[in-house]
Amino acid sequence: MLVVTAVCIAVVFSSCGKAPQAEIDAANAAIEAAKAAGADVYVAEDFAALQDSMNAVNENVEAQNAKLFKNFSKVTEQLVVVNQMAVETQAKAETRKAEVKLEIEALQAEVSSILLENNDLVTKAPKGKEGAAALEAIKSDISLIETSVGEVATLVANDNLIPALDKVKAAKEKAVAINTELNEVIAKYAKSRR
Amino acid sequence: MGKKRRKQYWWILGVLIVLLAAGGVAILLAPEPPRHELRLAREALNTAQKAQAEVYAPSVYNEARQLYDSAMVNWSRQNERFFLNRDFSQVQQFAMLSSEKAADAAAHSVHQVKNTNSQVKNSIAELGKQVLHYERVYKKLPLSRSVINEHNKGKMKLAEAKIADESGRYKEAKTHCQQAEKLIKSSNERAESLLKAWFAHYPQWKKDGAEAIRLSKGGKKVILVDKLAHQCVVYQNGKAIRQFEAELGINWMGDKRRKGDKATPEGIYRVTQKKEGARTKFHRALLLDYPNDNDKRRFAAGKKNGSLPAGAAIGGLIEIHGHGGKGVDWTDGCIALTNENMDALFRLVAVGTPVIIVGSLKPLSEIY
Repeated sequence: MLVVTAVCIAVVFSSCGKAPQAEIDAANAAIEAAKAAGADVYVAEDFAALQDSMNAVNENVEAQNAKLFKNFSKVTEQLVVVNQMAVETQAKAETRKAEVKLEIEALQAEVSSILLENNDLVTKAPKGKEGAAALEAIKSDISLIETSVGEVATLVANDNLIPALDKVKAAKEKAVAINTELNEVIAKYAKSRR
Repeated sequence: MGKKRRKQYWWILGVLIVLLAAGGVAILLAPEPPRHELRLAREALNTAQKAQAEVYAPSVYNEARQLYDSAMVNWSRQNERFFLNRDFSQVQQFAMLSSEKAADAAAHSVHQVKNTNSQVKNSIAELGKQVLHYERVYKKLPLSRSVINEHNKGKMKLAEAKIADESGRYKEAKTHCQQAEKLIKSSNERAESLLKAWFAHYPQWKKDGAEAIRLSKGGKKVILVDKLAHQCVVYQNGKAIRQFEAELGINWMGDKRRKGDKATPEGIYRVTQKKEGARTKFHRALLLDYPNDNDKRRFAAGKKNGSLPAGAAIGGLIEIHGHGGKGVDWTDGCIALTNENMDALFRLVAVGTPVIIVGSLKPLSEIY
């Protein structure tokens, strides 16, 4: 009888609650998936909140582990919320990334079109004896922008979208400046010929 | 028998009560995990992260995070022990240290963000000035392609820095600024050294400029061309009576040394012919007596000392002609004016008019 009582007490004291490991692993995997989707870059604040929530859950897991009478039902509920948050954060990151990509593509197209126009303007600008050196400088500028656009493509291919966006914006600024310069020179040239 | 059994039950009940009481006391005495400290540490880390400590105070921030992780690992380890044997003092220590470090990281990051932002803003402004200086002083100079490329690359990097700055990514902006600074500074220095080398002739230009005014004092018209200012000025009685904008040879910076160098010569010349109609394809033209004796002497010396190739020719047919006004230096070494200005100049001067061409009438100190 004494033995039975001792075993019962031992069982009660060691408790029978187990941490929801499968749910914890699933939540961690969902957070990793969000990070892989670029959540830490494109929706950094949401991702930080997600990480904080998971840390809070981990603290609750250990708090229950420290108790004699463990109860993980609240932790399981929290894990459902974290999982949902992770899925939403991943979706947000993917949307933002797609938006950045679209913006880059639009700018790339814009720069390419300005470059085409600039190359066309170069053929109309004073040339030969008339303005060859100035045109050489402009051509070198155009080739610099073309190189920059190539670098943008590499950055996009490597998923470095934010630096790619900076670069393509700078390239556009430069291409527009050359376009203005060429148009001014051509206008001046045309005026002097009249 | 019944009495014995009853006694036995009383014994069991007694033991059970004692055990439960002991258990209750043990529970009350069991050490409590430092949940409050851990929560504070987590909140401090969160605040640090919001302050961008990961970017601007990475080492302190990572230390804080590692301390928090160590606290959690230690807590988990303590939980595996028998509850009365648990010791959470280290967990508490790690958590408190993590809080302190996270607070340090946040404060350091706020300071760094402010600092970096101000550095970037200053750097952008300073580089902007240097770009403007280049555009004002060097852009119109016939510089080498590598100098131009360097300057353009620098400008592109500066544009990237501005974009990163506007997006609040100061650290990236700072990196772009550093790259831009290297390129812009180098191109400016290279251009400056070329300009300074050319200005070594300034004393001669000053003398020639004074000579032009002196020659005009007897009522004679004298043409004075300031290459750097791109001005063609007609003097009479020591006063400028007309002034025209001029376009020069592609490589106008520097004296003409030989045929094909596309440089506009520097020195004292004369108008030898006035050409118009079928005699010129540049509307109207004033042919100069390039090469003069000085040019011939210098050319011969250059050939002799090997600074000019043996097959080099001295060139000729340097004129002041029309078809200018393109806004660029485009000639093979001639001086081009707009047709309208050429007509005016053509009417003003005669064959024999002195034409004095100088690099600059202003000293270098006034150009900067």
